[in-house]
Amino acid sequence: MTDIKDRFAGMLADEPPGRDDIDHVVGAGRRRLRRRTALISVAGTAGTAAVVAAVVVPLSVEGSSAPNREALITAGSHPSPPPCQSYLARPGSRRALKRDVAGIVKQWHSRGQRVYRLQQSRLTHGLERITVCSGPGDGTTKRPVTATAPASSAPRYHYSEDPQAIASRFGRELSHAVDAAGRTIVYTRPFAQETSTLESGHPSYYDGNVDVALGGDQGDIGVQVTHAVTEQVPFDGSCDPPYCSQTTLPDGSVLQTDRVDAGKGTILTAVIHRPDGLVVAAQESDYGFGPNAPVHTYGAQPLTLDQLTSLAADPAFQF
Amino acid sequence: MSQQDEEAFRAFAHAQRATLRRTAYLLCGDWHHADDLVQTTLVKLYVAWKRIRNDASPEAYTRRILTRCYLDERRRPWRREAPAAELGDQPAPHVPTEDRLDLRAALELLPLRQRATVVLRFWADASVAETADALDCSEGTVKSQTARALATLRARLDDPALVSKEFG
Repeated sequence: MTDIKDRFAGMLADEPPGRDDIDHVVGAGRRRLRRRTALISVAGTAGTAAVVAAVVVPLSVEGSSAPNREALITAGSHPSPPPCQSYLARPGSRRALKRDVAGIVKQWHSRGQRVYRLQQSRLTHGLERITVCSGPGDGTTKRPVTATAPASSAPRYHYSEDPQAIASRFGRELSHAVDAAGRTIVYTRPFAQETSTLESGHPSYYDGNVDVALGGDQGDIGVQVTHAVTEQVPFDGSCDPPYCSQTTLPDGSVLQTDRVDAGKGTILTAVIHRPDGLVVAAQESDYGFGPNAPVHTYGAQPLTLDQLTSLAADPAFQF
Repeated sequence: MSQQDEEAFRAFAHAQRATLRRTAYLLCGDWHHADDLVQTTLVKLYVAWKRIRNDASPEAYTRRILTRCYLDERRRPWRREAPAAELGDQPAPHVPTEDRLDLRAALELLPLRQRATVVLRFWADASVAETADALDCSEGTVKSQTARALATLRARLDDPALVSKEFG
C-alpha cells in the first residue's frame, strides 16, 4: 500500500530555497488597498477630473518604479489625454488593471472626450497590453455612458491558410531564427491559435515561445502575431522613455520597444505595428519560462535588441 | 491597516509561506510559478486581512485564494495550447527517473480541478467541505473528482495500491 501523501512529500524533495518576500507582499498589498480606496472615492465623485487624475498619475509613477508583479507599467500619463494610451500589466494584476482603466475612461468622459475603443492584447510571458483610445469631443454632445468597442462592426476575417498550418509555420520560423542566432532551444511551447476573438469575426492571434540555454541558466524568446482592430491603423499609441521608445520605420511601420522589470528578471519587447494593421510582438527574458527552467536569472538577454527587432520585423510572421 | 494587524499578517504569512509554496508547487508543478502564486495569494490575503483576521480558519481562506489563483491563471488564454498538425521543436521526451518525476507527470495528466482536489485533500489535509468551498463546488463533486483522480493516478503510476490513509 502506498500513501499518496508520502509520494507528494517525495515530490517535494528537491525544493529550492524560497524567497523571503513578505515585505514585498506587504508593499504590494498596501498599494492595492490605496488603489481601492482611491477608486472608491472616485466613484463617489464621478465627473471630477482633478480627483480622477490624482488617481491615475500616482499609479503611473508607482508602477514604473516598483519592481513587483503587482505594479502597473504604464507608457505614461498626460495632462490632457493623447489619442491612445497603452498600459502593460503583468500576470496577477488584471483585475486591478480593469479598475484602473475604468477610472481612465471616467476621466476622459468627464473632459468630454469620448473613449471609442478599448483593446486588450495578450503578449507572451503573461504580459497584457491594454490600449485606450479617445475620439474628439467638445464636451457638449451626448456621450456614451460606457466605453464602446465598435470592433464588432469590422468585416469578418477570412483565413487564406489553414490556421493550424499558420501555427506550425510560425513555430518553424521561430526555431530557425533562434538557431540562426546561435542559441540552443531546450523547451518549446508551440504556437497556439488563440480562439477568443474568432467568434466576433476577428482574426485569431498566435503566440508561442522557446526557452534557450544561457550558460547554466535559461532565457526565453517568444513571438505573438495578431491583427490590430481596424480603428487604430496606423498605430498612434503613446510611449514615454526610458521604459519605452517608439520609432517610425521607412515603410510606415511603428516600432515600439519596452523594458519591463518582471521581478524574476527583465523582459524586453519589440512590437511592430505595420501599416496594414498586423502587429508582431517579439519578447525575450533573461530567465526561463518552461516547466523545468532553473531558478536563476542569467542577467543577459538571449538576443540583442537588434536581433529581437529583426525577429519582430521578419515578414514570415504574418497571416 | 493598523500596525497590530500588519504584524499579525506578517506572522501569519511567515508561518504559512512554506506550506503554501509546497501546495502551490503540487498544483502547478513549477517552483517559479509556485512562488508567483504564493505572492499573489498573500497580496490578496493582505487586502482581505482586516475582514478575515478573526476567522476561525484563515488557513482555509488562504488555501481557497491560492486554489482560485491557480485555476484563474490556468484559464487564461496564453496558458492554452492548441494541437497543430505539424509542430516545431519539441522538448526531449520525458523519461522519469524517480518517483517524484513519475508523480509529477501523472499529476499533469489530471484535469485542473481534479488535480486541485487531490492536492487539497491529500496534501493540504482539507476536508471535503473545505475542498468544496475552495473549488466552489458541491461536496458530491469533490468526492467524484477525488475518485476519478485517484483512479487516473493509480493507472498512470501502475500502482493499484495507491491510497490515502485518510481516504481509505
